[in-house]
Amino acid sequence: MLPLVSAGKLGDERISLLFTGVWSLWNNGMYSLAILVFLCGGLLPFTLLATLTVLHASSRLGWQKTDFPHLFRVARILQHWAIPEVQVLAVLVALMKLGSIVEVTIGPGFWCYCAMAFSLLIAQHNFDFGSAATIPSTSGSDTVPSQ
Amino acid sequence: MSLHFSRGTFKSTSTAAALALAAAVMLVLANLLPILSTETSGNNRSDTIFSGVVELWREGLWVIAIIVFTASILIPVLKLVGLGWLLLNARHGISVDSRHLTRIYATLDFIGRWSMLDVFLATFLTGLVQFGEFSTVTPRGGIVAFATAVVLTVLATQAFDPRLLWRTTQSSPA
Repeated sequence: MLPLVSAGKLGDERISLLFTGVWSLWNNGMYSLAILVFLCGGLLPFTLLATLTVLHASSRLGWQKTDFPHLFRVARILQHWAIPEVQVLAVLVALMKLGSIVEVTIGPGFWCYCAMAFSLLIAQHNFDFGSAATIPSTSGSDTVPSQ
Repeated sequence: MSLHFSRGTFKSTSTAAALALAAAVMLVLANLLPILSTETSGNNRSDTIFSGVVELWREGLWVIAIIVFTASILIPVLKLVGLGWLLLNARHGISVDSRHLTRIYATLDFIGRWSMLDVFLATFLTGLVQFGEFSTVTPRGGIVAFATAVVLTVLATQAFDPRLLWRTTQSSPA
């Protein structure tokens, strides 16, 4: 993992990775919060991106959407909890807030994260979640034509 | 009056109402308790959500103050009020245009995620600002209450079935 942001004050430089904040929450005894932030800002966005990739690829290859009813439901649930764009805004706000006090430099990790958040937004935008609602949750008995 | 509705209606609205009520309680707690304490060169100060916004405003960071205020105070309150109104409509069938209500539901669903901003912000600051004796940020109980409130509002929105907004206006007993 690349450094997200590094901040220096009076020669004391500190590099923050994506999960540094999560780790320090954990160390402060706030386990539930650490897990929540880890899920919403880290794990779930990547999972959602991977799920959408598989679903897109499968419809390109001409497979039936009903082959993956579970993946569809996973994607639909995840879109509520995967919120990397909020994380990006939070980092920007923090940078402006800290900018007046310490010297802050944006690292390559932040740009990678931004790119991930942006591509996830585009993927979600092009993905028709509504069609997932027509898929029966128990079995794939009726056929939904693939795009 | 609830005799006119199927059991599904009652279950969906009462689950959503319970979650929304719990979220409201947590939100009040979150605004009373400090969310972060900052120690700078021996000076220790605790910030609540609101005092953090005021501090940003005083430092001249107006744009950020407005963003944080919107995400942390305005959106959660709007969302709970909106959800409460939708629940009232779904249960008692107050005759308001269903399409209008559904649009409100979609908006609530969309804006809810942005209130997580303060949680990410607190996490990020905690991780980054650890300069030993110069400056240290420690998370406090309020942020946990706030995160709980946000999660509960998201769950409440999901528990609510927007289809009820259409059914009840048609079979409204009143």
